[in-house]
Amino acid sequence: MQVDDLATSGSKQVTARAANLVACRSCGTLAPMGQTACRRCHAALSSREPDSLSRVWAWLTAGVILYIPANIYPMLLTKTLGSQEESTIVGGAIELVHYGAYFVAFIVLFASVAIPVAKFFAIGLLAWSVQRGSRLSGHRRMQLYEITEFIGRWSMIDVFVVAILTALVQLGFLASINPGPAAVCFALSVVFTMLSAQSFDPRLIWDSIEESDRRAER
Amino acid sequence: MPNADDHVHQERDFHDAEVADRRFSLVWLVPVVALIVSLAVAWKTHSERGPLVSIIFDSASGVEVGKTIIKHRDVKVGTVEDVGFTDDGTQVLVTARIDKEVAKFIDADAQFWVVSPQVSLEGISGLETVLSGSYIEAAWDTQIGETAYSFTALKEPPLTPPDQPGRRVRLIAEDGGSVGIGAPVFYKRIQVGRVESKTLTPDGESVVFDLFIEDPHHLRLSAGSRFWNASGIEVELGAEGAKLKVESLISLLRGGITFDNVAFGGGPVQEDRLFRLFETEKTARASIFDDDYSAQIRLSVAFNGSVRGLAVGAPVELRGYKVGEVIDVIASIDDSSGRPEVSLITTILLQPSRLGLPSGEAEDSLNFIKTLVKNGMRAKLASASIITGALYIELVQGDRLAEEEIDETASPYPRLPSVASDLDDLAASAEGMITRINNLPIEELLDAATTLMGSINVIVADEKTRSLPTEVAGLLADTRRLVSAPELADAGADLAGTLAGARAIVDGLNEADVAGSFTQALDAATATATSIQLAAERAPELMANLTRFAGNAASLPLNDLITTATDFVRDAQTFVGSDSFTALPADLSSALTEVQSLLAQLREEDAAKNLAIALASAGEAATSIKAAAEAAPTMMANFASLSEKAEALPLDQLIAAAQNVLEDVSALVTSEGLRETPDTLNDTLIAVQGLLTDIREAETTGRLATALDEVGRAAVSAQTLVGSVDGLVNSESLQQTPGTLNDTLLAVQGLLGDIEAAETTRRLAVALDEASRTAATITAAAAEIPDALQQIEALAATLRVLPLDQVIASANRLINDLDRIATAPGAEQIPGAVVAAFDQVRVAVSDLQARNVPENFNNALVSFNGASIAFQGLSANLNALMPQISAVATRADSVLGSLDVGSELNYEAITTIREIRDAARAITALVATIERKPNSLILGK
Repeated sequence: MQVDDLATSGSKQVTARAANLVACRSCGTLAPMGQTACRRCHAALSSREPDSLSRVWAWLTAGVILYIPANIYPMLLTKTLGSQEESTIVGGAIELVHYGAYFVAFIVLFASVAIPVAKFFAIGLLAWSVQRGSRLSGHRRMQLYEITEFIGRWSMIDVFVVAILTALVQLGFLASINPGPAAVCFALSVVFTMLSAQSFDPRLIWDSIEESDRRAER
Repeated sequence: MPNADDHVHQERDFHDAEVADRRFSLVWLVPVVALIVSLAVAWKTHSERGPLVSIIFDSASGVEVGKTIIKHRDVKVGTVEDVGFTDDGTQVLVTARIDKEVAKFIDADAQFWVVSPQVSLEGISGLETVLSGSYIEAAWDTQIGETAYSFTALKEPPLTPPDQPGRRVRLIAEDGGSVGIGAPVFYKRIQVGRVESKTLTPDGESVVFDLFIEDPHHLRLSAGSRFWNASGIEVELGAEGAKLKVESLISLLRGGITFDNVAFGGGPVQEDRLFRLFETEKTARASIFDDDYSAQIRLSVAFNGSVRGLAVGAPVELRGYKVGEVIDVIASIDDSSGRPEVSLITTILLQPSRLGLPSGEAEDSLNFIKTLVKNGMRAKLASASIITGALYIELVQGDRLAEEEIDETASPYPRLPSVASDLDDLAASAEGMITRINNLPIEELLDAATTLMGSINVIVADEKTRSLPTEVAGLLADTRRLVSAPELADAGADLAGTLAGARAIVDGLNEADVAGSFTQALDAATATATSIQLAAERAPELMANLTRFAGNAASLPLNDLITTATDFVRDAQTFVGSDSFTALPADLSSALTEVQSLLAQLREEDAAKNLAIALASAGEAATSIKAAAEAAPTMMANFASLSEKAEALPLDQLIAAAQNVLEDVSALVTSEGLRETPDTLNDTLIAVQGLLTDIREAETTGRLATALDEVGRAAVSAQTLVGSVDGLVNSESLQQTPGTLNDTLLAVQGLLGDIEAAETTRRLAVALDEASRTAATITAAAAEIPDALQQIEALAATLRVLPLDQVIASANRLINDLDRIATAPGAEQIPGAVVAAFDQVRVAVSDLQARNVPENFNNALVSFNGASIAFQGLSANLNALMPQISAVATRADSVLGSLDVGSELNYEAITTIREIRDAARAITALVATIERKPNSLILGK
């Protein structure tokens, strides 16, 4: 019957839930609706992640909140021969521009500002569209989600740079670099954003498509 | 479609469940916590933010927003948040955030300044800012005041932090000297503080230094503290030799101030107490101004005469007690009378406490001085030293002065009235003394004395004079022998015998043919009588002459003359016999020769040319003068006593009198009469002696007298003669004479009868006439004899009384002495040499005065001139002074020589200073470079 359903559905898109199936998100095994654990990998099974959107919004909010001090507080505390310099993310990039390092400035800006902000908007847009519907097609939104998921980890590049520099440049009085409070905030913000992105259940995208299809049938 | 319905239903349930679950999702705790934490951090940050203060800088050199921090005691207390401009755009307004925990100290007293590297003479400071960049240092005291928000930054770092314990005092000085800001303050050669500022007083008259004395050294400060300038090198040429004092190198380069307590007690000083800054340690220690400087009174005095020798620092004395000092001498134009006149205004500083006033308000003290002036107090110039010519001001109490008051309108200080000094009088009287001595007719005196001595010599050396006493003695002896001769006593007996003989003769004559022989006898008697008469006729003249001579001789004030002459000769002998006088010619001559050569040398040389040579000459001169001066005191003492005596004597009169006397004596002595006097006297005496002998021998006279006695008229004369010869008259034989005489007369009567008969009567009458005349003459002569004898006796007595022996002895000594003088070498030239020497000295002095020699040398000559005036007073000190001056001059010479340009010391000092300058320049360059590029330290240029 399920197969029939699948077969009869033909070109018409049918969600697993509609087929009373649950796919394991770990190993992809299909299981009948209602089964709570994957028979193969014992992962918890759910047709839709419970509280998915709520968690998305929660992580996203936390990420955004932390992104503010991440930009206000200094990211790097650079001590050179007794003089201490504090540089925020944007300030550092601007300084780089002053030094003529446009490319590096671009990368910093892109990785530390553009990507996180874009992620906030992307996740927010996805969650919003799931709840309220969107004119964007499901595929586009799926692509957006995948890009967001893929790029999200690169947002940590700034944190990595700080971590590496901190570890490398510890020359005592001559020069030393320490992470500022913004580094922690930024890292947390990225982490929360990633958690937010992970909390998002992309299958919800298709639910809305299915619904719209259904409305179209009627 | 049950399935579909079911499905939908399921889906609904699912959705419902989903919606219900969403409300309880624990994930929402995360953003809530994040939010809370963020807000908490924000609130904490905000609540811990201190006040924002604005500091005005002249320039924001080294100040960067967000980077430049504010430190206090090397602890960060704030950050610069903004750098902008003040409203008028002329200054930089730096806004800084101060930590809240120190904000309470930021009151109006807080100070801010930029700390940047500084290389100064004391060292390098702020070196840490070479690497870290400059920062703003904040300093505040411990008192909590009302928070202030606007400050003006200091241009320079304050030398003393406001909270450093210690004491600030202020010094006032006439000029800034070489003391710079930051110059060290020493107490017993230990730095105890520093000069913080150096400013002119509002009136521009003085300079005020602010000093900070660190704790605990400020306890050393007291009212008895004296501050003096310890800058650089102090060279002191004193009686003890040359002293070279050098404080620390820093004080050499940028000055320094030293203080010490010259008096104890007085208690601790208040903050900002005003002291005086002295130029040298000596003046500081000698200072009497121990009270508050502000209580002192400044007055000005105008003197009409020269104030040459009145130096700044000269004392102002009241009855010998120092009550102030001179602080300035300036020329001022007095236009009040309509005709501009230059008057010299001396500014003096009076210490009220020295006048017995409590140190209070200057106004009270001024009022007191006004009262003093009204009662006659005046300022007068007085001479402090006749050698240096230094002057000081004396406050004298004048009487009978026109009422004068302090002119309070005078500028710059109230004018104290002055009276003319008596310095000119002193100089004039000294000059007058010299002139008087100069005018003494020494030459004439000596000439006259020489002539007198020559004349006396001639008289005394005359053999006749020497034999005179002997002759006189012999004469007197003869006279005495004559008078007391037993023959004379027995004359009566002889006379009686004679008369008896005569009677016998008459008897014989009666018996014999007497008449013829009597006639012959009478002829002979007549001839004898004639000769006797002739002789007798001369006798009165002789007697008269003798008497006159004796009277003259007796009336001669020989006693006085001899006494005076003896005294004079004794004085002269004392004078001449003194060793010093004997040594005088040689010494004086050599001294004068030296002075002469010295003056000639000085005249020849261009004195201004070389001070060193002048000083060397002065040294030599001093040595010569010392040598001269060693002999000088005794000589001068003698000379002084002599001159005193000479002055006490009415010299002119004396000399005139002496001259008269000498002239008289000379005339007397040189008069032919006196010269012949001995001869004449001798002759006369011999004649008298002979006469007397004749008289004694002339028994014929007795006989004749007897004979004449018989002739009536002759008898009276003979009786008178006999009566006048006292002892003769009373003799018994003489008393018996009449009887005999009677007999004789009877015989004579008989004889006469015979004679009458024998025609001899006429011839006898002639003879008797002759005899009578002779008798009369003899009577007259005999009458004169007693007088003559008395006169002779008086003369003899006078001559006996005359201390001829002494005269002769004194005269002999005088002559010996004079001989010695005369034979002494150079004696002949003495008067001439003295006069010539004085002339030369006078010429030399006027010559030197006419020349415009350098002032120092001129001063020396003036002093020398003054010294010669007071040579007597100087002579005692001169011995001690001369070696010192000589030593000082020698040392000064060597010191000056060592200070000469190109000398070792000079060269070393210049080299050292040059090296220090190079080093400082290099360090400055280094600092500039490092400040510009700190990492150049690591990377190199």
